[in-house]
Amino acid sequence: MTNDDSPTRIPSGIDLHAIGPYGDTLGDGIVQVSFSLPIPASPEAREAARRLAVQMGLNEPQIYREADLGYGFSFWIVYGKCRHHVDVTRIVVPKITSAALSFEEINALVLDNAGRRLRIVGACTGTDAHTVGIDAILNMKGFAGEYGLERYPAFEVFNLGSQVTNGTLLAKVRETGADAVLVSQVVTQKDVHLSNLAEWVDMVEADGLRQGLLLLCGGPRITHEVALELGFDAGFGAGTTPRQVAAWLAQEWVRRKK
Amino acid sequence: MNLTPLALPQDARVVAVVGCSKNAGKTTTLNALLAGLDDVLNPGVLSIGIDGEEADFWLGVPKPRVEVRQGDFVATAEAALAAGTARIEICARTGGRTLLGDLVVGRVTGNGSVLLAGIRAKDDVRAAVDAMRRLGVTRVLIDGAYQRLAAADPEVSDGTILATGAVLGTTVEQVALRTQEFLQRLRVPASDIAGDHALMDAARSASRFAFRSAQDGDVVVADSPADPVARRILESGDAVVAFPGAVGDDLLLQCAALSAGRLRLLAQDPTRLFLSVREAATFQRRHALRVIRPIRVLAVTVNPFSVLGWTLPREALVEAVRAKAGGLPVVSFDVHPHPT
Repeated sequence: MTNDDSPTRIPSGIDLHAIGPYGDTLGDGIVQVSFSLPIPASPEAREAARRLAVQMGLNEPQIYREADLGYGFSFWIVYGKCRHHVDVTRIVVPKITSAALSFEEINALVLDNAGRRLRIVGACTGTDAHTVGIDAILNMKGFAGEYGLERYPAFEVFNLGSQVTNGTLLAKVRETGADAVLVSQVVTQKDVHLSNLAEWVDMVEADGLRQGLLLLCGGPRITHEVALELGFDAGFGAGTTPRQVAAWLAQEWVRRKK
Repeated sequence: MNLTPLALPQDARVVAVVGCSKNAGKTTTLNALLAGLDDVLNPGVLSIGIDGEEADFWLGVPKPRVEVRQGDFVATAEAALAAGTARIEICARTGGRTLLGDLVVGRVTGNGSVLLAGIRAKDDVRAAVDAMRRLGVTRVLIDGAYQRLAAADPEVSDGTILATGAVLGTTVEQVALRTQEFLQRLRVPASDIAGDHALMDAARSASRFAFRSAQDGDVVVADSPADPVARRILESGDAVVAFPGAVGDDLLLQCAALSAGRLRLLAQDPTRLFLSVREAATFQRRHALRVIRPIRVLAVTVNPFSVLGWTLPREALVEAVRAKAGGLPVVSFDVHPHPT
């Protein structure tokens, strides 16, 4: 999320075409990595750790810490100089840029423009039973000192809970005439969330509901880029608060209606 | 050898490249097709997801860039133009707006890579294809996203290429089997029975279900198979059910449970079907599943390299997929396994 107004400053003299890490002096490339190896600490393991660091793109790797973890495992902290640079000027990252609005401003924006409450359907879909994310955003008590969407007079919320099939979610969208759907995905083993989310977007398309519906997804490993690639309108990652979602929903709904 | 003519017949004007999964080789297929289109003027290219980024959003590994040549057309979000190396002149705006700016159609004036982004819905695809046609584009290639099939909708494209690859499994047999399952969905047969199209028309015009009794030919339109008028038909014996929206396992099970006879369930096209392999097979042991508009599957492309780190023997994989592909052309484009 970028809906705060804190300034982003870039120090002078930085070459944005070749950005790399630094430790002591600009451009030295110094990084620290730590990892475990499934072999006991030994001179051979030390050399293996050093060679791995070279393959990770580090010059002059130096072992700063080694520890035998027992049971045949060892732990390593390695310093080195990263060989790689990134051209920041060629990076394009879609960001959610809605303004930060207060609880009252969000309600006023929706009710003044829609003349009614927006209907929001939310669910944790597929085999996923982790409702902590969707509940944090939707439940009245909210999260991080902010009310959830159920508390907003501007929203009528239908929280379907966990392990909801895409078919059941679609039926609820049809039944309620929803304006927006929030899908939460926490479980990511074998990328099950990606196939589930992709199927959901295709189902909405197949049912002819896509144009009138705002599609959001969220979860600790969801980013806005991934959401857009999957066909959603927005994606919200870890640390998102209910008011950020509410502000985006209100502003995007109004923008589309104009 | 140029394999493009094998995978891309001349009469397929708007072609979707869809994948059996993420990282199956859609963009590689797209690049190979574009490179082989020497004899076609002004090909256009767009993506229903995001394509041409340097690295996979999820895995962080390098992805093939989308390479375009002078004279090609692209549809993308305006701000995404800066992310590629190709020089592009904006020719039209489709009217779509995204977080990366307006959706535009541009003509390539200098060879290079392009980031395709901003098109997420079928209506966006239609608008971009229409804008390209007005600019004289004779052939459009649509790159899919993940395993999404929206671009394969026969109302959007008139041919589909399926990309499959080693990312689906660690053995040739696993990949071939999963590809076959995907093809079975794409190639659900069209109904050739008189009256089925009219029944779907009735369902579409009402955006509801339409039911026809095989006994007396009665037709009713209802909100659900559980509606009393629908149940009367389903419980009286053989029947036909048409539904223009998304058909999932829940609906299949509901229809089968209510039916006293044999059912023919009609979907608009295969992109409306969201059925598990097991439920689809169980349903079709007693009933029939048909579509009104079939997808014209043009070819299957096979990528022997998995982004997850393994490689399968190319020839064996092609042969195994071909054995399951029901006579479709199966080709494997020769690409480097880890493009940079």
